[in-house]
Amino acid sequence: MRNKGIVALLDGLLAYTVAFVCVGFLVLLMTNTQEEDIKTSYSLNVWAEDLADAIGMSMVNASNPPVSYSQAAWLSRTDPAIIENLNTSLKNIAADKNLDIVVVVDDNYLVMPVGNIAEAKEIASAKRLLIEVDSAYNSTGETSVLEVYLGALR
Amino acid sequence: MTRTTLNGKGQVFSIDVLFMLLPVMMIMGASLQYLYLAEEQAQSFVLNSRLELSAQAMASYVVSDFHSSGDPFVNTSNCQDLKSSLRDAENLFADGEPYAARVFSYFNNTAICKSASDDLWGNCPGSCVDYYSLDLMNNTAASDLRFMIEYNGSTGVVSPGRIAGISFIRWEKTP
Repeated sequence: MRNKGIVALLDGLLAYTVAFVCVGFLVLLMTNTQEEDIKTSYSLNVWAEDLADAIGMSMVNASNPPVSYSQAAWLSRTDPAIIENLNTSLKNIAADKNLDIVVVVDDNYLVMPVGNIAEAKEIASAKRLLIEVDSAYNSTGETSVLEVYLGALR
Repeated sequence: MTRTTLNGKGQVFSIDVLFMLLPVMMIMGASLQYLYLAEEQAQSFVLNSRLELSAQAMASYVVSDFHSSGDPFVNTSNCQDLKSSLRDAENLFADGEPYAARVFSYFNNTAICKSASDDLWGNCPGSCVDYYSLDLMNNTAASDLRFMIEYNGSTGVVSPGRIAGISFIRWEKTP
């Protein structure tokens, strides 16, 4: 009877050891995955901010406006050639870095989305408030929202 | 699981228990090996995160320097500005730690600022490209990429829709 107790004790110890090792494995694996996710998410958010700046400046500086509007877009007169340039640049960036890129102004696509829209909207985003200006570069009082979404590295 | 001998006495290390322990020992052996590998990886991770942070610091400094200069664009005419920003950013590292920067137009898919020998600018001993190809594979490098709008030197305004990428690469100083 005494030996049975010892064997039962060993069995219990065994079960705890197996459980401990399994949980340890899971924790290590999850830590590694999380670390990679955080790094990717950080980079994509920085890139989204950079691209939002670059796109905002593109849309307004085409008309050589006053310095005070350097961050604003003049949506009513955005040149189709600029949109074409943006399209080329963003496609090349997406191809080089394996990204999904979606650029939206007031819920309308500014350029054709590249890659998976749903994936892009889940990972990183940046927003800019764009001030619309008239032909004399005076604010019309209207604003638009520029949104840039970047998807995960595949 | 519990086994007893025919005479009724319990047997602590029965063959069954030993067999049962075998997979556990295998799992424990594997976990120990995994932990050892994780420790080895952690060492290179600590090294890399220092490099990564310094690459990010360099990128942030250079980009904010461009923005604060009132000329937040890159083109071939302000490559010298980039170079002086990089020299300032060298103070972030220990003496002689190598770095390189590359300015690339994503509109034309070409390098914008080129040095005499290659399209990487930095303080690498010898060619940065050679350094890059040798050391990147050794996991002793880190890089950061930032995007900026391009500038047209001849018209004096930005090139709308043309986006450039500035990448910064840092290496561990080799003894």
